[in-house]
Amino acid sequence: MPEPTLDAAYGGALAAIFLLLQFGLLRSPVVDDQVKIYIAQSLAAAVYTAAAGIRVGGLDLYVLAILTVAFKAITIPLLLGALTRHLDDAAKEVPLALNVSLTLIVGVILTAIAYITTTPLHVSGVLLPDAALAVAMAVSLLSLLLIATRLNSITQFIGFLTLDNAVYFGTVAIASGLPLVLGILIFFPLLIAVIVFAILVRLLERRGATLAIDHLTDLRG
Amino acid sequence: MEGVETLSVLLVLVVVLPIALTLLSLRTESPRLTGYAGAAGALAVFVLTIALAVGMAAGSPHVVTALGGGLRLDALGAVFLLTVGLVYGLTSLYTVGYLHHDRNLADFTGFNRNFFVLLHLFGWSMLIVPCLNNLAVMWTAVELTTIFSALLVALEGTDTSLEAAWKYILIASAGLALALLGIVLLYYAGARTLGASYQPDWTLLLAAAPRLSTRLVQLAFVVSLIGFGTKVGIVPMHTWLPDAHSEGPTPVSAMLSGALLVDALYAVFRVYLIAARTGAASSAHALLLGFGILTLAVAAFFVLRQGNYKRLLAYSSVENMGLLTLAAAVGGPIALYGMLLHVLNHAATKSMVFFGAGSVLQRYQTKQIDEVSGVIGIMPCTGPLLLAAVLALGGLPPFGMFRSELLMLAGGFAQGQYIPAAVFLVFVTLLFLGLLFHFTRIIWRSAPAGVAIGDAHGLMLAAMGLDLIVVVGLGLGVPPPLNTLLQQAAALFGRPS
Repeated sequence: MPEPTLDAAYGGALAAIFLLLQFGLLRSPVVDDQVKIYIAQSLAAAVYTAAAGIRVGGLDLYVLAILTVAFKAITIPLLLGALTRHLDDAAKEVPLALNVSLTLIVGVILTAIAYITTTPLHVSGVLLPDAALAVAMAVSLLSLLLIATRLNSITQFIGFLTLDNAVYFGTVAIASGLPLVLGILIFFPLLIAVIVFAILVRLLERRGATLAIDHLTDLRG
Repeated sequence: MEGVETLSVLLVLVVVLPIALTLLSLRTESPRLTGYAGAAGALAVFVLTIALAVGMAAGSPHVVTALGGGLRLDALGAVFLLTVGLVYGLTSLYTVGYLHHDRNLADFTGFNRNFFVLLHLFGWSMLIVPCLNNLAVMWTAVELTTIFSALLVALEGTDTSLEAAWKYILIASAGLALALLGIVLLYYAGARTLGASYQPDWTLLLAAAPRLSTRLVQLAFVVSLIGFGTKVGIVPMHTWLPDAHSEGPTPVSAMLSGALLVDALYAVFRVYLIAARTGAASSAHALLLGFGILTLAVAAFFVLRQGNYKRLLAYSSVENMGLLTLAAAVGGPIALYGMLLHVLNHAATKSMVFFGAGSVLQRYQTKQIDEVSGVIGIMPCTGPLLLAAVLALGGLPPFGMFRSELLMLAGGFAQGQYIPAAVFLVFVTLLFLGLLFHFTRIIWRSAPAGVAIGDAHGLMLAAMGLDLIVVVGLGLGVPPPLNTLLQQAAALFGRPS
């Protein structure tokens, strides 16, 4: 077990912010706020990447940090913003399949599970001597929880984006020698966001300004 | 040595030709040229994959590499490459006839062009998956298959197709993000023996497998299985599958069902082969077994109560993925040989049934089982072909699936795995009954009034005919080169003692 250091304190603080923002998403009832939380989480991931770059001394990590800001904190949120502008206020509310307090309880349980299952693996990450994998796992599970319990298409897509953030965060922590995968984790969500944007805009044109998933229920069984 | 170099050239051609076809489709104004050239090119890719398989079966040590090791095809990859090549080639042929039906629509030229561009890109992305040694690059190829196929599903632009595409891309991409985490975990496990910076090549990780941390590999396998399993259609991550299969254009359904699902299963196998050589072998085995049985059981239920024939076929695909997963878990040379043969059989048979279903859909204009009847009288050529395809899918002799299902079953008994074998037998029987129950009505009962007699386009029938040759051929006997290839591929699963 490495000695606690100042580095580890910075890493731990960033990881905690990263995780808490995910809980913020589960609490937030309006799509516009969720987009802002996603931007904040992407920025936290970018700062962590840059900090890891200082620690490991890799130029590619600085480049990845800049790309993270450009793609995940600017371009994708702009696309999401363009999509939400089509929506009326009612469609910006997020219908819940599970109410906020129950969701948060499930979220805490999932986070505990993530810690309990990953701590015995002794995975040590950059700036995060023992919590790297646990944070990545916890945010992944919370993202899936968001997709499963929030019945708004844009919220569900944000769930996918934060899942991607979680995997990205974990990869920076434990596999910073894999810039290829990190690049993939920055580029693919943008590509998918463009396609999802195109599909949802066409659906909006056909169905009016409601993108609540409970309207997307023609297909069952 | 010269033979090996020829095979490398063939491998590069397989990877390059679909891109050339994509560019050709983009540049061509004439829908006829786009279609015929596309079909001819895709069939040429199929022939190339056959040549590769035959060449590899004759050679030793049954591995072809190209582009400085960027492409690597072993016997296991060759079986899946052949499968994708078959479905891609025949589907392109079928598509020419299928789109002929819409030739009078406004902006048909544009629709036709988009269709073929995406079809070739989708084919290309599926063809490269079995040829890649670097797991991260392979993951990228699998993600590309999602993107191109989701666009194809959405192409007709109806409400339900857009909804299906949205659901598909969201669920599949979320699953694949987890799969990537699995690969990152494997990489981290490998870094303890392979050094801090290396490429996550499958061969490297396989060689290092006995030294990997058991618990890390366990977690990596669970995450990868759930991730790639989402695309395979493993229950409970299968929810996108019936929608995408039923709402997409029928040629796309054939590609999804016959090729895409097994391509993702191939990715699961690559991770499984590594896990099977570590201390995580028994838990990985148990997971495959459990998910296999769950998938079989749930799919059988939906097959029996289905009212939409394209969804019915989609659930039949889920069921077959369950069979393959179960057989892979059972292991042993016989079951694995049968499982790999079944990959090919299922591709040929299921694409044939979907081709028939697409022709029926164009004539009857409905996907509801209780609104379609008397196909044998209305469509004199498609009817008998569809009947043959359904009987083949039900696992009757003399068709290929009979052979592969029997081998998987015999393999289960040979391994002493009586419970999985019994489960297998029960659900294969249920599936057969479900198919027969729904399709007897579609094919035999007297036709509804107002449906004119007439058959599908000649190329659609030709695609079904070619499938029939494969399906019957594999039922009568396995050609010696394929036999060698299947044995080599099955041997890759064998645990070194």
